[in-house]
Amino acid sequence: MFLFFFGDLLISNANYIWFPSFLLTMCCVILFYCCAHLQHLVAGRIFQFQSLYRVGAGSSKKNRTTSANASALKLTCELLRVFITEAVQRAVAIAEAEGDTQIEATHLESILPQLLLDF
Amino acid sequence: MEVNIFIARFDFPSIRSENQEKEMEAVGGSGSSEVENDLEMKLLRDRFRLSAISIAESQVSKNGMEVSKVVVACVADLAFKYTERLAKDLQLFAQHANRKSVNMEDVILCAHRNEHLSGLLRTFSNDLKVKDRQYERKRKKEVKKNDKTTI
Repeated sequence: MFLFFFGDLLISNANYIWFPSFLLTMCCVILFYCCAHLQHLVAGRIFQFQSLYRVGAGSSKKNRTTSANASALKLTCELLRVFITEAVQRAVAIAEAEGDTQIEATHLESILPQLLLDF
Repeated sequence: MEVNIFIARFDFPSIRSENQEKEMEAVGGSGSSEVENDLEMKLLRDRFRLSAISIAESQVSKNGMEVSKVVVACVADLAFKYTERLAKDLQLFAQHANRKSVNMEDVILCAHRNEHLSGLLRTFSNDLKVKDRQYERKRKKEVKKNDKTTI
């Protein structure tokens, strides 16, 4: 580009030819730089979008880890303890009604539907 | 079980470099961490079953009865499956309330269909709150005493 500009200067000594050609070359230079800059800008945008996409995928709601409160954990333990004791107590009641001293699988089977409905 | 977990913890990181591990974790926790999680989950599940079995057997002995092993194992498995369901529910409740941690209210909400159960849990949660307050007061008092002694 500069070679073209200086060549123009050397060849054309007359002012009336030199001035428009200078304008033309300057326009070319500006256009070239604009194009280069635009390309750079576009490339930067794309890269930014990629990084944004990555960050968005990382912090989405699905991948967010949920922790439990200490007291909530204790309460859950109590709930599970109640569940187990309830299952055993109902099975014991059925076994006593049938006159058995050992809880068998049939006793558990008979109480299972209502137990699962209640919890 | 514990020996296996130790092997998984100390052997696998040496095979992979740190960057690779980070990439694996970013992709979705596959590889050695998954093996580790699997082993840890098995260990936790076994511990859960053991405690469930001990609770069930103590309840049976309280009533002066005997119980077959199949029934105890069934009860433990039932409790584990119920826990999985419960955990999923709790996570969804917490996410719905835009919270990152599960609250006591979430647990009570899980048992809202059974009035007796929710009442029981509510009284238990109130007891826990009272105990926490007492504990905090005690701790504050102790801190004050320590401050005085240091002064």
